[in-house]
Amino acid sequence: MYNILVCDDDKEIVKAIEIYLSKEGYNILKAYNGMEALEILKNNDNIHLIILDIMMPKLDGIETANIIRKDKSIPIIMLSAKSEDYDKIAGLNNGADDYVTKPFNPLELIARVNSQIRRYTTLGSMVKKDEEDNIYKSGDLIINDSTKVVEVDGKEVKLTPTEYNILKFLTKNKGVVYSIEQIYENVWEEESYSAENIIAVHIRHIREKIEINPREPRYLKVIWGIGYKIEKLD
Amino acid sequence: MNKKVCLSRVLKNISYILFPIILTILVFLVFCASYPIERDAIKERLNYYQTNLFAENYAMEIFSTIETVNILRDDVTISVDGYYYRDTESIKESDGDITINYYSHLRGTNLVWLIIDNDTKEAFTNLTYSIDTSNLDNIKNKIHENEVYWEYENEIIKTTVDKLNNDNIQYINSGIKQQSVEVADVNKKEDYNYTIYTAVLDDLEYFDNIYSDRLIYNTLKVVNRDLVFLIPILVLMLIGLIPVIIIGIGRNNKTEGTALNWYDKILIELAALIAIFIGCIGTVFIVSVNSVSTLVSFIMAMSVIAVGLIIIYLSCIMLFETIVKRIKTHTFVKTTIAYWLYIKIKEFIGDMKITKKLVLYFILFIIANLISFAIMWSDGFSGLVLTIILYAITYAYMAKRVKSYAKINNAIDNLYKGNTDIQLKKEDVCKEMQNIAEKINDIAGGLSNAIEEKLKSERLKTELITNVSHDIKTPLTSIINYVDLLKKEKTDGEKAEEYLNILDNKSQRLKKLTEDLVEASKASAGAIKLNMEKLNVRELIKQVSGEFEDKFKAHQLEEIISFPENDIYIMADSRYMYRILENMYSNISKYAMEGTRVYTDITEKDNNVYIQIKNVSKQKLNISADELMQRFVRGEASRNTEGSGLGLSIARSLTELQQGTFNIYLDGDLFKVTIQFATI
Repeated sequence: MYNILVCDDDKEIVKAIEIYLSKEGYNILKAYNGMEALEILKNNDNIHLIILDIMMPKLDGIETANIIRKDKSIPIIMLSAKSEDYDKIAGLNNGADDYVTKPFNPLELIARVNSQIRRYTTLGSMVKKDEEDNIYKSGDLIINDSTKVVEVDGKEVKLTPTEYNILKFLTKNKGVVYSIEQIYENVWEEESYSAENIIAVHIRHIREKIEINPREPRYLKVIWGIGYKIEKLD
Repeated sequence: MNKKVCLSRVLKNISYILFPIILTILVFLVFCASYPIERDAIKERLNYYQTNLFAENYAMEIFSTIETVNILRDDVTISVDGYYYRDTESIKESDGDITINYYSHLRGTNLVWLIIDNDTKEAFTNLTYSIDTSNLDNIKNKIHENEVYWEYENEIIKTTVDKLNNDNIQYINSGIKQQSVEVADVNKKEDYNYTIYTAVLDDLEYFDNIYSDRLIYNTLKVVNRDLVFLIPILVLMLIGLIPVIIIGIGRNNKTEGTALNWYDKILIELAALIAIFIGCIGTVFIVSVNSVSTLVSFIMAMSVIAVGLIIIYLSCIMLFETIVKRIKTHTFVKTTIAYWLYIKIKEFIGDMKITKKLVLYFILFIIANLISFAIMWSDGFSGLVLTIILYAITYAYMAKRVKSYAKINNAIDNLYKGNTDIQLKKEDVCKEMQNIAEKINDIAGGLSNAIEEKLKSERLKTELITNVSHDIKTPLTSIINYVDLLKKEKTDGEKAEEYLNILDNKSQRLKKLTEDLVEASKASAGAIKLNMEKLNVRELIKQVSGEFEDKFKAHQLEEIISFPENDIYIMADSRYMYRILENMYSNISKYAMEGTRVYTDITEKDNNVYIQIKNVSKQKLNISADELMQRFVRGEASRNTEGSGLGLSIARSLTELQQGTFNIYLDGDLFKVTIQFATI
């Protein structure tokens, strides 16, 4: 049983999040401003995740995250109506591990919560896997080339052989940007046709399968007009 | 402050008094220093009466006395310093067989004398007749009262002056002859048998050579060794007084700075004339003094000369003060006649209309030209030089105007192009065009202000929209989540489910609308930070096309893409380029007629790349391309489909932000978008 602290000044939103996460089997603690959240954290050592709104009375989310980060490494997901890039950057720079904008998709929020909890609680076992051969990984994306199994956030993902080959190639060379032509030549090992968009279609499909929100991918990033890459994560 | 001003004024006045005094002393000392006096005598600290200087003067006096007597006794009219003496003026008395002539009117010097002609038994003296001098013995006693004397009796000289004794001087031809000075009239045939008694008055009463030489000699005796220091010190003092005077001029305790009176405001030439006139009055005083004979007349003359000098000095001060004041207040040049004339001419020309001025300048040019031609007629070279100078001046004058015109033209060109950052400098253009230049500056300033205001209001609008959208999003979150939760609850009847679906759709649309609204306002206000990169257009189109492959297939749309052979690169922001194309492709998937083909053509021409996307509209397009690009306008009448109507507006704003152009063409049901970017 994992404990999640939900902090938002809108009680209905807290209530809705509670309903969704309770169904997933999480225990929910509620706070309605930054001060209350800090109070609960002080009295309860056994909290595994914090969902934090930014615009709150008394103490806002950014400052709360700052204070929490002084002595705790609990994962924090920021949940805010502020959707500008610099808002997200400010949130992530001030101790947040993830940033979800309002209005949010409940399924996406659940997926992100699951992902953070898994990372926070099973970090130890990951290191061991890393040492094995034929394993390619970035963050929680793990490709086992021996068993041809792809796992994201601990869940197995079904890919077609072509999709698997493209993903393996990019993950093997994570952090490097490849153009459609380069991917084609490396995966098919032959020259590409001029007007081929088949790679782009495959990439879209891979994204739909491995990403929580394909429009804002965490792993398979699209650099428009340049190419694709697998983000280099720990 | 007041005290300081007063002090400088007082110091100035003291300096004015000190200046002539020090100058006089200086001139006197310089005169003394250059006076021919044997330096040895001064070194030996000799008494004045022991010097050669005195001896020479005494000898001269004796000689001139004998001469005078020689002449006067013949009862002729002689002139001494312009005054006429006649023998008849003398008083004659007799002492036994000797007749005494009292020539008291000859007391012009410090010499008293008695000359006796032993042949004719006549005696002559310059003493006045009185009881004390009624006989020869008395006269001799009177002369003997004085310490310094010279006597000649029976060919023997008795004297207190060593240099005038028998060894040094002779009595010949009714005169005396000294080794150093030839004072005897050797040509004179007649020789009187004189017995001569002379003495120099103990108290020098008259300002003669003896007196002035004694004054100079005694002064030198006192200051001789110090002259080397004294003269430079006095010169330095004089120089030191000048700044004190200059600082003090124009200061008083009533006003700060330099006070001017009427005299300082009139033309400088007039002021100089007044000063010179006053100076002339002083000069008249001095000139009116023409003869000095007695002590009294000397004092009188000296006072008159002093008054004259003071008047001249005051006039000099007057002129000097006004010049200094004018320089201090920078009005010196402005009060000259030349400047006055210059201003008047300038005013006259300045008031003229530019057309009349042209006529005036043209006439002046022709006159100057004719003059130089006329000179050329008589003297070819200087005429040629003059003509060249005239043409050079005319060219410079015209060149300046043409240059100003070019500058103004350039500024207007810039302004026309929308560059409001122009500032024409007043000194860069000629006087006639300064008015135009100023007005252009004003127009540019006004325009730039208007643009800035517009940008500011756009930014404020964006800020407002962003803030409002945050406030909308919070309740919207609850709506979306609870609708979602409600859908999962068991509901009674199909209707409830249908209504819930509508609620779900509309709340999702509201979410999209809020997001697009913020983006549209940001894009049109330019409040977006661009991250420009080198992008491959072919890669971009392939990627976007791949993204929409599934959606197109779902609507039975077939995309036909054509590329040129080579890769084409542009500088743009990767994310916003996707936003532009995403809006285009999603519009097509929404509004294109099902079962038709979509053409994407990439062409390169003149360093530009054109991305053209053509499709056939599902609905009738009964509005213009311009209207279509306005915010919230959609090509179809019904608003049931998703989308905010902001897609084209956002795409166009983002394209223009990245220095591209975005155009829509409508031809019947054909919908054509052309996006243009410069290639690199």
